[in-house]
Amino acid sequence: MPEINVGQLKVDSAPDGERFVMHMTGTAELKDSTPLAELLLKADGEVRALGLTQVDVDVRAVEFMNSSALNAFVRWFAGMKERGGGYTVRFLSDPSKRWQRSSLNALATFATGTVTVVTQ
Amino acid sequence: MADHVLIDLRLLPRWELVGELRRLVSQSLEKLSLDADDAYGASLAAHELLENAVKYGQGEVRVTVHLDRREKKLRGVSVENRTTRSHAARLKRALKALSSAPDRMAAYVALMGRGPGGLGLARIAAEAEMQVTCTARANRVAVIARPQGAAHA
Repeated sequence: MPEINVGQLKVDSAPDGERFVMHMTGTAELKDSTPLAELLLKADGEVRALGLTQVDVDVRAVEFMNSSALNAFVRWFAGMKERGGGYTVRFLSDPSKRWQRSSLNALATFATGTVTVVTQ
Repeated sequence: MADHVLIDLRLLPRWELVGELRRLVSQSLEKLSLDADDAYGASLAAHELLENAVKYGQGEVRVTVHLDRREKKLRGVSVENRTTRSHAARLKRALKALSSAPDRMAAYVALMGRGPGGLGLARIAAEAEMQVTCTARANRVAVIARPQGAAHA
């Protein structure tokens, strides 16, 4: 997938060996979660088509996400559960960015068993 | 009592101002060497509450940030705007449910599964560990987020 801008959030994603890697940078201050949710759904389709078992979402360079952006991830993880899983998701996080410590852990709790948070 | 109003703004309900407000609150509190968790809580509350006011309110929005300057502690963030009675009633119900939840993080995560409504308020309560209340008079509503244990601003 080419680099895509969702508002001030840039998303660059591609398969990398056995994984699918999404690099996100910028700020996710979304009025509506739909554009990001659609992008994540498209990535889900690509991951399934390639038969990959892990997705790394690198948000270390994301300064902030509002609740609408978090909701896009909630929609992704809820959809994964409905489709019977198939792969796991790792958030690569920077704990010095305060929002990442609390918001990513909340998402991991919502999708326990599917989503983990890794600090790098 | 060393209550101090750090920020008192009247804003147009413009989406572009939401992120700008968060940055202003965050930078202002960092310059005052406020506790990092307090600074994050204030900026998160300012962002999510102004976002709600822009989405669901009407007309000018008043944003205030109160500090205890002597103690270098946040006292609260308040966002006030005009709204409909039905929205004020929904807001009160949501905040009542949130304040009565025994575990705010569990309530926040449960709310994630029920759709986007109210996620911002639950996020303030759970992630920033703040108490969120509201007062409604006539056609105006003020939503106030305070750190746990802070006196009323």
